[in-house]
Amino acid sequence: MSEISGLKKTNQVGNRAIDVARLNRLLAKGMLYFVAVGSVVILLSPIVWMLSTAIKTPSDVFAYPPMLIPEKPTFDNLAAQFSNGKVLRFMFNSAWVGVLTAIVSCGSAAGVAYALSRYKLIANQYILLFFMSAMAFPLPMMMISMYSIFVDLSLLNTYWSLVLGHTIVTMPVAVWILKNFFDQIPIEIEEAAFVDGASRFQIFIHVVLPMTRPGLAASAIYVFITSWNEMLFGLTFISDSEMRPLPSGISAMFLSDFQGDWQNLMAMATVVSIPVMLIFFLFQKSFLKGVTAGALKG
Amino acid sequence: MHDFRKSRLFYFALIAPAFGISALLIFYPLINGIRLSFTNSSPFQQVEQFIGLENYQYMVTDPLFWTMLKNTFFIVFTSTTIGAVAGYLLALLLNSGIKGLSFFRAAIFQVWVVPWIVVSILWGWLFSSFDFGIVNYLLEAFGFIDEPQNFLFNSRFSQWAVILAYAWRMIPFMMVISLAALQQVPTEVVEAAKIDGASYIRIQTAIVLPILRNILLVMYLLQIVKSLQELTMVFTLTGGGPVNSTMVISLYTYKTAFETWDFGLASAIGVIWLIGAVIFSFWFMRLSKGALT
Amino acid sequence: MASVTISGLKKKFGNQEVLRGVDISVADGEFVALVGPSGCGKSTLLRIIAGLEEGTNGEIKIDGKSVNGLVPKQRDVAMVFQNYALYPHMNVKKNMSFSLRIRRLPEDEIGGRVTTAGSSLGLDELMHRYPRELSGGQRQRVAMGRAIVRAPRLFLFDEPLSNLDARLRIEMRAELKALHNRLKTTSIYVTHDQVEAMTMADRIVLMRDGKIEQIGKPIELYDDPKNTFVATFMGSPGMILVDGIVKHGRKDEISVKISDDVTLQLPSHLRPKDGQRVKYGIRPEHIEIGDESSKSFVGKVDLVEPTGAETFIYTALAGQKICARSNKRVKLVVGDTAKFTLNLDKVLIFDSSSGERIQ
Repeated sequence: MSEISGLKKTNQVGNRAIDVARLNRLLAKGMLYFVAVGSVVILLSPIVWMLSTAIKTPSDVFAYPPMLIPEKPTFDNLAAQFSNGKVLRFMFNSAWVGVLTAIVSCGSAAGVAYALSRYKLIANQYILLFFMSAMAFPLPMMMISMYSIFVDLSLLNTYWSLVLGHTIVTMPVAVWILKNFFDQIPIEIEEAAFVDGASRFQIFIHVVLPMTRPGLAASAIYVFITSWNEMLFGLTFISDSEMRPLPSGISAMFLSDFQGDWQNLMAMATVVSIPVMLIFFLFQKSFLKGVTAGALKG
Repeated sequence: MHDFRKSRLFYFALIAPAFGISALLIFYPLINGIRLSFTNSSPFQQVEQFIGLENYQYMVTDPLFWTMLKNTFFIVFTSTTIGAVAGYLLALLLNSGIKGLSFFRAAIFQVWVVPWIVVSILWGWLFSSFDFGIVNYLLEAFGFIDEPQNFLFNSRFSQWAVILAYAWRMIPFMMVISLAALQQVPTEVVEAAKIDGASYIRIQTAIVLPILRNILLVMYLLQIVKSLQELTMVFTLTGGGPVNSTMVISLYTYKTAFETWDFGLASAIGVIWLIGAVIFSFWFMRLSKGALT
Repeated sequence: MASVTISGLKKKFGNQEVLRGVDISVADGEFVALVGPSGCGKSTLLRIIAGLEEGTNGEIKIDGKSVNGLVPKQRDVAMVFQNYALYPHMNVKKNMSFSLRIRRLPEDEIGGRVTTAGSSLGLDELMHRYPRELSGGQRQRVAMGRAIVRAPRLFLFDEPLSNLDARLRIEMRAELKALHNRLKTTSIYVTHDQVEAMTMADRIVLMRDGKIEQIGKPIELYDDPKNTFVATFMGSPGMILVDGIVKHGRKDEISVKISDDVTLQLPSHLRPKDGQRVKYGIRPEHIEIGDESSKSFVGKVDLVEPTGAETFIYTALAGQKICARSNKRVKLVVGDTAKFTLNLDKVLIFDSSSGERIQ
């Protein structure tokens, strides 16, 4: 009798211990979630504040103490900025340049990346080194010579000066991303096509590239977003304000057009961020896969 | 199949576009820049003259140059360190087995997607010098300061505003790379340490970090190099001020080239920049190779 | 349809010699297997025939014409890879028609060829599926279909069945052989599995370390091995080899002394020199259990392996492992003593140091 009750007691103690441990684990997990969510909230708070300001009326903007959610939210600012002719023009320029740059940069990068991946030449490591180190070269200094070249080729004030400039800036990373994708394609598939009678060019176009879609998407997105962000070339090589891409266009009118008009300024900032946020949202899976694939080969 | 001797034409066709663009717009400008540093080249100069080391002499004797170097070091190293640590800690957090990883990652990446120009303008608003500037408000509310500060007129503060912006901006990439690296750490190794009785901190410092050391160092180096190029915020928001406290080498080179239009001097600064970057990279590589042996 | 002649082929990868002078003659319509242990060079040889690699020395002729330096496309050969190498972004139909589309054949001809090949391999239902949706065996068939569709003059197989499970492998072996009988295309088949080679090939080329050890019909390599390597490689388990010394006795009697207590007899037609160190070889199926006679020896049973159809009994003769194969159920357990009788007619001897067969 006492044996059974003794066992029962041990069981009760044991069960309680399991319950306590389980509670501890849940608490720990809960803490982690709390910290994670909290960190992300803090991280995104500047953006949130920007959005909050964008929907405020002037009185709310200068209210003290500042409120996160305005008393009378208004979409007037956003509407105004969406139809802001200058901003739209800038966005169009940036989009067009971005697309062209994505094509030129990824296209050139794909060729080099494939050559580096498949041909075992000693020169390869030097080529890769050159591209990687190109990111460290002082851009303003290189722009001096680029400026002279563009003057001679009459490319100043054209989209091409920007496309070429942005290509230089983005090609190294595109090569990196694409090379890592090409490395992952088993060579047997290319050999099978080769034995089947395809030429090396046909293999590249019909077999390899289709298999590299995630890599191409990832590098295209990276190139587009970097191009959209780029200000220096737009500032230096374009003087016609109609041709200006977004960042340089805005920096010129930042102080002049929006004196103290913070709500409209923030609304404009919001409007200008939306296209890239949208693109990123649509393609984030491929993009992140592409970026992390290469990350560890470093 | 990909034998160079058998398919020379194909190989050259593959690398031709990239090579053409690079030769014209990377290789030539680099070499030409080095050459220009020894001249007085400028759009205002009819004939370009060779002036030897005059540009360098001017540079070295200009106090602004040294201030600029000091500020560059401070801003770039501090921001990269903060950003790397923050990114790594976030990666640790997300790697601890909580669900919704892709949601968190996507959310964090919005920080990178927002254009730099937007960040610059936004920072101007956040650090606005009146009560309605949110940073001022928060600092006052928590009792750190008594009255609203004028961030952009105070050298120390504006440096920190820039540092914070840079660090903030690089967190998504730091996190993503750290996360990928963390996921490569073999779980059995960590479990063995746990069984051996090591505490969480001990495991992180004695086991995880040493394994990840090289990847993290390379990530750090790459970011330093990238940050040196960064120009948008200091150009738009601070213009290098106040009192040149945020004058970094990228802005200094740019202004000399395209505002003062002194191509020769700008190239000289560029050359110093290049040498600095190369030396730093080699030194850094040597440091991290030491971990391998 | 084509004959293949390989003469004096050598291949070096850097400092490593992978092929050391290979000569093979394949007749039109023949099915030849290249067999050997890993690293013997068989795959390299196949790839050189395909045109994926070039030999360092020597010549390859297909149908009497040299193909040295020709790209695979120009050689009109089809190859089936070990990992199938299907194009992942194309469905079965597109995978099979790819080579024909490259050659700009008319659409209806492409369709016809693909449908015929597909049906013969049982792929009709799978035409619109993608490789990732197929099982290993199905992928294998698609790989073969891709090769068949081209109606080439030479088929090359690089261990196509290695990745399949045992049962599927046996099934596919029969199908491949039936295919060959139907199409009669010259085929060269690389495998490390000698059973596969034996069941499928008209002739076997057994390789080791970049050299050919023996070429011949499967049964020739089995019954008539040139050296110890061939003898032990063929058969599962391979030939039993026991070390011994030749002893000439009275009355023209020649026997092989294994140890102080054990001496084995030789068939009358074998007359090696006295004192020569030899390896005494016999296959497990030629050792009978039971029977008392002068040709038997006594041994203690070390291990009994019943596989259902046959039983393997392991014992030791003067410390050297012997295996006997019986297709009758045997009532022996470990530790029993049994008599093992050798079928003298099937005994072979090899020189101990060179491994060469003594005729």
